Amino acid sequence: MNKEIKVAIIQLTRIGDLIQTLQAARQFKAENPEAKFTLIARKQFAQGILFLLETVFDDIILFDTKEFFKTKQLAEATKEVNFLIDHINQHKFDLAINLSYSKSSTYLCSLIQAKCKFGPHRNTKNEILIEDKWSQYVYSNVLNGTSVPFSLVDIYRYIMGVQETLVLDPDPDFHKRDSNIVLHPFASQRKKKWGLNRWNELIYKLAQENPDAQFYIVGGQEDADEAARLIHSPALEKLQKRIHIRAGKDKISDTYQLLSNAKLFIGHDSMVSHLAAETLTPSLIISLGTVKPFETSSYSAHTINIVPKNKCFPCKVETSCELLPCHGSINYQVVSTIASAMFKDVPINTKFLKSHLTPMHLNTAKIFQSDYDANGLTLNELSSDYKNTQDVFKAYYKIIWLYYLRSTETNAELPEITKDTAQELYRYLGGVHYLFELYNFGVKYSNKIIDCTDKKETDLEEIQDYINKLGEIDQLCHITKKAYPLLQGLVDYFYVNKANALGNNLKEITQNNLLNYYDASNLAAVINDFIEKSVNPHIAVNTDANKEV
Amino acid sequence: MSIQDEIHKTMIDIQKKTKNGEELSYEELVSLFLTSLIEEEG
Repeated sequence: MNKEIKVAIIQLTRIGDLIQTLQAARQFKAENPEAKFTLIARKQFAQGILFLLETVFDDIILFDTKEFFKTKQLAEATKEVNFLIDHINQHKFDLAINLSYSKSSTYLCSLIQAKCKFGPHRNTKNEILIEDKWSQYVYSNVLNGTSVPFSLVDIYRYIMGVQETLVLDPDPDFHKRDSNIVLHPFASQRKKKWGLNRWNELIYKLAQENPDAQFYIVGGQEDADEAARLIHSPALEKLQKRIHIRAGKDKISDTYQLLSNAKLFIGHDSMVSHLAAETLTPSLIISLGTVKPFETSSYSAHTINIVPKNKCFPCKVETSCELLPCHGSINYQVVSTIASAMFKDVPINTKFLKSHLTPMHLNTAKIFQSDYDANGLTLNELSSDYKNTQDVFKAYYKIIWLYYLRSTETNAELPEITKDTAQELYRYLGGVHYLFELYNFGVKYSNKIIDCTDKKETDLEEIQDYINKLGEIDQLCHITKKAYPLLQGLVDYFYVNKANALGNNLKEITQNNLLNYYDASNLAAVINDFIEKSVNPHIAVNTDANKEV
Repeated sequence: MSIQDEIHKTMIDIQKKTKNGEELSYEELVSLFLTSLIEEEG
């Protein structure tokens, strides 16, 4: 991208998403300094971080739904929206990028005039269109899947077409920071939030181990009561002078200043953790409930993520859970040991974990260290050399999506696995073979449709028959992903990809889908290769020459 | 007519058009934008 291209970024979701958008946009701007960036966001989310947004975006357009309806008349509200859209369209954008994936954002993106649009938008028949492949990946994999190996910031970068990973320079004055630890023990959902009693124990232990540390508890107005309950417990009675409640008292800009002078941040996946990445504050993140740490970990090379090993993690928002078993998997001693080391600037690595934590501690939780590579942020597991099946598939998907969607070849070794994991992967070969066959049938019937359309006399019944067969293929792929859940990423991507195939008539659409079926079958073949190579060292050949893992 | 009734009537008209495969106008897309904002913000 070059010259003075005008880009509109639509980000209508929450503050954390806005910060991640900012982090991607900053990298785009660094690569394209001539580009003019306009952010369109909701006032309620963007207002508090304008001081950050203004460092990257040339223009920021905010709107407030309540203001549209101040006269309580639909006609007036419609007029207000028209003013907003007219104001936006005065910019004459070259490119509009919707990074929100909400219903309202799809309509807003369709109302904005731009030469090109990335991300979901609507046509005049009210159908959702997603024309760029990385946005198709988000729609199919990120919104519903669990095998996403990329940070959301990097996905935003990929959508924007950013080539290099350009990150903030280290803080040269880090050593001058005060001995402050900022804590954010709150989260938007109960499932994501570690219990107050555990935070209580953690603060007590940290205070004992670090006599010079001062603790600042940050959060919104809604967190103030809980913050008060946390520190007014008998265990923390003697530490009251060292624990400062800022929850409910500070603006986001104040929390930013606090983090800028802190040596450590401890919290959950939240807006505050993303703010800590902006202030280059080393962070310890406790990922629970619905959190997908690979996607939403703060975009920083100074982050340690503690993640439960429970099979149900991460769960979905709609999944009901009363017992919260993943919370029990994170032992407060693991958190305090790592936190104390980070506070003292002791490197956290596999050697440290093995010497300071017991196998029992490491049996229930995984510890990840974040770092940057040529493709962006990566989370490296420190707590074990062996990957489970889910993590193995993440590694496979990272290679294939970077190659297929970004033409980037990644040199990576196949993950180390145990015999149990090899057995699970071996089972997946059946699903992969089946998908390969199905996609090849897709190629066959697409070719037949194209042949029919080329004939002088078109047999509509025959064409309909082949279209029905393609529909059956979709259904069988859907059944396959239910039986082999880790293949969902591949199946869902090509489903969305085919649904957005370009073309003005049946022949053109089918020709594009023919290519999609080829690509899908090729990627299935690649996954097959990966699984075979991973499993082969574990295969034993018995006397009947039958293979078993 | 209350604002909820106005929105409800507009949505019914739009749904009919969508069902018939008809194209929506700019004003109808604006209405859809407004109603989706209301839905999302409760």
